[in-house]
Amino acid sequence: MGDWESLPMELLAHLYSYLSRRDRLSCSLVCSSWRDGLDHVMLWKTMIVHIDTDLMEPSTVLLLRDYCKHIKNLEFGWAVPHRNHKWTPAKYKELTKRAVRFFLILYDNFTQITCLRIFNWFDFISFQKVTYHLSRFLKNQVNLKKIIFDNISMHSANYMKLLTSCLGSRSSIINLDIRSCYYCQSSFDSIYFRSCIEQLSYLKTFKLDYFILSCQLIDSILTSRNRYLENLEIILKETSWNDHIIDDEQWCLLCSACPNLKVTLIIRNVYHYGELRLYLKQSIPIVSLSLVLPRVLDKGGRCNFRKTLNLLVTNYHRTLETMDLHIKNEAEILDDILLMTIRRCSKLKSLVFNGYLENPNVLRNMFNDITYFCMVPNGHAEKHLIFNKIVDEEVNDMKHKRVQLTMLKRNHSIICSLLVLN
Amino acid sequence: MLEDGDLSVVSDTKTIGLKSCEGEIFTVSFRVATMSNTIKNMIEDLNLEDGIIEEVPLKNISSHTLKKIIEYCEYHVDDDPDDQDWEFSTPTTVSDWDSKLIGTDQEEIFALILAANFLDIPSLLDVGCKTVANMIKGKEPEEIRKIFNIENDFTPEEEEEMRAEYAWLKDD
Repeated sequence: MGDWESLPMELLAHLYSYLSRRDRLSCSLVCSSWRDGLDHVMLWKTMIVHIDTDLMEPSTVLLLRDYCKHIKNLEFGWAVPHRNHKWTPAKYKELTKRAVRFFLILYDNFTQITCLRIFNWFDFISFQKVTYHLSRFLKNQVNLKKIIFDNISMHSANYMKLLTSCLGSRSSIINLDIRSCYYCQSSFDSIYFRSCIEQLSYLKTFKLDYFILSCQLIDSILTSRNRYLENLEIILKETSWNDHIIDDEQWCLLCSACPNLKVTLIIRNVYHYGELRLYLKQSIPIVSLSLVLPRVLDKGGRCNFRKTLNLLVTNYHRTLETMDLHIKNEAEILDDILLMTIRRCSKLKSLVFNGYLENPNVLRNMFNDITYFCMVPNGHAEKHLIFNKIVDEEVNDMKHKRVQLTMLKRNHSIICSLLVLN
Repeated sequence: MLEDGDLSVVSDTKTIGLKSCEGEIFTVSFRVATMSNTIKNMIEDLNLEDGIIEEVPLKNISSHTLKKIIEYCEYHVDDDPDDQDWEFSTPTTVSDWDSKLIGTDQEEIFALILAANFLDIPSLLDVGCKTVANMIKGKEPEEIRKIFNIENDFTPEEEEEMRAEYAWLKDD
């Protein structure tokens, strides 16, 4: 007879890993050994709580008391933000009550986390209480390593409260990621935010929208005497840049303070490339570039777009290691720029181009030195064909079709694949 | 590439006998048997790579379970560990073939999970646990006890305490 009460703890934990918190709660009420089996670090290490769905589910709070000691990564936010929930004030009140209870339990049990992610947060009146309790919980943290604020709309004052409360563990924070927080824009210009940054002397990775980056912010990084900053990831969106241009001098200062600094530039949904060039200072150590062009540009826009790409290759050909171009329209033909990138960027390790090729014959010239060439027709990954040379027929096949070109450099050989997407 | 192929040809000709608790011996190829990490380590530790191994006693596995395990291993022996159909499967999806093999009898599943754990066949253990998880999903504690024949061993006081908490759960 199956003696399920005696299932070893490790196997119970394995089984529970496939169950939701609600089902885990049911299991905890089955018998004492099944309840004991829930006390396993792997089941609770990462806790993701969706305010709108999980908080109304009582198991979220009920199980927390017993297992919050295991939580290392806490993620808290709305599953569907900004949707008109059509909830009654009573429902909002109830949500607030439960969220407060959630953080009270964490606070009372001295839960210490290493990674915090707050995502899709929007405030309503009574939710200020939640921010208060969340901040109170964060102030007690001594071992926070990674903080992610993703898509947060909250009153600037509250936002600053949240940010400053994380600083209790300032020396342990090595990873800070602040993105899509447009609503709180003014808080990033404040002296409070800058004094936060001044405390983070061990920050290694910093990801942020361009509008947060300013001369003053770079000053704050310099003041922090941080020598460990290695990755600076800057996200540029149409709406995300304002007037502050960081000049070459400032970039040079930052580079000499943080000798291992590498910058990743992510360009998304930009339509007006005219002014963008002003921001691309030569002394930015850009190693990685990712660009998505979503729709057709007008004539002037196209000209500026090409000029910008040219400038990117000209300015950063000494440092560029990875380049990812995703062009979603047929109008933009970048054969010459691809060729220039491959020829000029001597450190280039990876190039991914998703778009259209005007004259696939260009490939022949491009791939003079390439060891392996792999073409995957019709997107069927199992039909790997390896070509040493590209045959005319295949070249014609690629005309005016969407392709994905991937080039990877490994040791001394270059591996290349071309995928016809439609 | 070629070397790998050569090796698999060699190990296909070699066989190993697995002896169930009833004493029945099942002869399988090395390649199938070594899907079990336990057997693989045993062969490596004892330097038994050449030669035919007559029998490995598996005292805690019945013939019925062992037959299923061998069927599973023979079916999956050529699976590419990197090539899984992630796209279409939710975390607890079990393929039709696997779920047919495993069946729905909780006693058989129990024996299979314990054996997969003992033999250390991670993919089979996964499939077993996923099957059980699917049986538990959305059920009340009492229903779960019934399915798996589990006795409620909580004291009346504990029961009362939990019922108070559980009442909160029923609120909505």
